[in-house]
Amino acid sequence: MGAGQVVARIFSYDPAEGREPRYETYEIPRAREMRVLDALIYVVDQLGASLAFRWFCGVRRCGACGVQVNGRPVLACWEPAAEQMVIEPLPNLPIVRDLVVDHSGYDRVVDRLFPYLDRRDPYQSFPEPLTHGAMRIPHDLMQCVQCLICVAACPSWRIDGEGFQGPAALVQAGRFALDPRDALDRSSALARGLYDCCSCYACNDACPMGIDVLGHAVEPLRAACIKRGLGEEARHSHAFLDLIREAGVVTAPSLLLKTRRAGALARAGEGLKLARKGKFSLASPISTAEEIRKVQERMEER
Amino acid sequence: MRFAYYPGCVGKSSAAEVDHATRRLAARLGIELVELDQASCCGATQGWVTDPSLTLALNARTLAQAEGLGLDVLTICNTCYLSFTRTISRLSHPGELARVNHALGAIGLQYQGRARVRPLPAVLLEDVGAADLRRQTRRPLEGLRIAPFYGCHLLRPAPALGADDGRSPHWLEDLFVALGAEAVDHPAKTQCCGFHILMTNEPLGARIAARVLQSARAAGAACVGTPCTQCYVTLDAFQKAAERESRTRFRLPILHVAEVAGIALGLSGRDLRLSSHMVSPRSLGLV
Ligand code: SF4
Ligand code: SF4
Ligand code: FES
Repeated sequence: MGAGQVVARIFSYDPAEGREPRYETYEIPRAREMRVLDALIYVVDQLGASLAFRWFCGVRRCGACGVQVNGRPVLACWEPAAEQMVIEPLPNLPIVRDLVVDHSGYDRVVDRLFPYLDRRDPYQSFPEPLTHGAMRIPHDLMQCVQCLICVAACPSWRIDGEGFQGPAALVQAGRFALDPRDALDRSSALARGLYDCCSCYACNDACPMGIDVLGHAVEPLRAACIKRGLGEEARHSHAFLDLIREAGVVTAPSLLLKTRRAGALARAGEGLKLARKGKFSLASPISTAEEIRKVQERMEER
Repeated sequence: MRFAYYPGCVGKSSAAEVDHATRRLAARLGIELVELDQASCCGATQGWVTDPSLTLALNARTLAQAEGLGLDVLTICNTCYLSFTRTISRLSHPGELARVNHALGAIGLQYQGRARVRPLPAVLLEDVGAADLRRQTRRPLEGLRIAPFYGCHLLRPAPALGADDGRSPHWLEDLFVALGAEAVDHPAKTQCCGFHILMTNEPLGARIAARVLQSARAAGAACVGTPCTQCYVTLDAFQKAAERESRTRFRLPILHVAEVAGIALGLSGRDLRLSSHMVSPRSLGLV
């Protein structure tokens, strides 16, 4: 490989052909400021390869060009080309052909979350009396280009769209649900899956728009569902906080006892073995319930 | 070297052996640990969504206790680390700080913003130093193929150590290599272990854990090494569940950083309570 070259191994697959997926290797002359997208375009335009990939804007606006490069989901138009690249379709999503993935599972999830502003109060005036503070979070979420890179990075997302809605759909839901003008209660639609997020921050890390997906969408939406006590998980969350208030510390057995899920301990026959190894020891409570109560009272004062 | 030691709820119950190993390791290295024995739970991920203001205030209380000792906080759990750094950053806003200190006033404490939070690997690499660790090694882990597993919260949302952006960290490798082991690269090393949903959706959490175990096993690792008590519990105590969900047999011993360092520095298996592991590390032939 010459110094001025990029070597790309690109995933190639057409489900209609019924052959196994394979990788094709291409050598591409390196250009200044070359992006992954430039390399893909070269492969088709100059090398005459048959390769399906999506792009439209070329400037991180349309969200069409998501691919996985060397194991990391990125926007092809916003990622510098590396000297050696393995380029694959975004993981976690069904493959249409080559680098093109099917977004329709995501679309269906979003549809069920009422992705529009449902206002009770009519416009008062133009411009609307909105403050920066009140719009801070929805404004961050409005930057979303629906590229599904966060979905590709999310360990909890399942392709079938059942259960967990996935980070991108929660960003769309939050964009409206957290808008001060919105009056629609989406929490029962949300509570069905949103507790499956494992708080790993992979979405934040992957998002090309730098959106605080976990802090600005998943957590506030989850907080609203917990507040309304929706789902068994809400009971779990309240039990967790009750334990902190009562004992200062939280352990697995005390939590399971409190959520009346002690049966879960014994399930699968591992409970006893775990208990023998001391895995279910109750940490001794700290003697500070009184202190915690005083702190809480003062926090609630204003 | 002295630290205000915060074992965390997992370190106090399901991973009590890691807490124990940390104390033995510290003693071996001449590090004095003053336990914050009146500290409360850090709130993990639940606290910040269920009662954020109480979580903020209680963490400020813990940090104020450390400040009272004039010490930085030492953690052995990634999420405890995150929860404290989250607290510190929220309290950089004067309004929040005033509100929290008003509450802490009720119990005679004030948060000053002095205490720093240090995860164990940072103390080992930055304070003790790789060279010193290497010198103190009594039982070099030669030939031990260990898969580093970082977990999430020492990398994301902000890297706790190392100069990179948290995407291609190598400090865990550096640590294991300093202790004489061979660090085995594998694709899932910076992914999530699944801990935070194990209590509410065990099958999903176990499937996420299985991906990590699969990744380490496919790379030919003999064991996994992690800086976090939660990752340790998930990958060890829930390994059976992960095997069931993925219909794969792993039998991979999981070691916390405190245990890896403890073994290399010559502590015995009994000292480290390795018999408390669900997947016995004895097969590694180290202790
Ligand atoms: S933080 Fe939650 S939504 Fe984001 S990637 Fe992790 S599991 Fe998915
Ligand atoms: S949140 Fe970020 S990564 Fe996810 S779809 Fe929107 S822009 Fe893409
Ligand atoms: S081509 Fe539009 S975002 Fe990349």
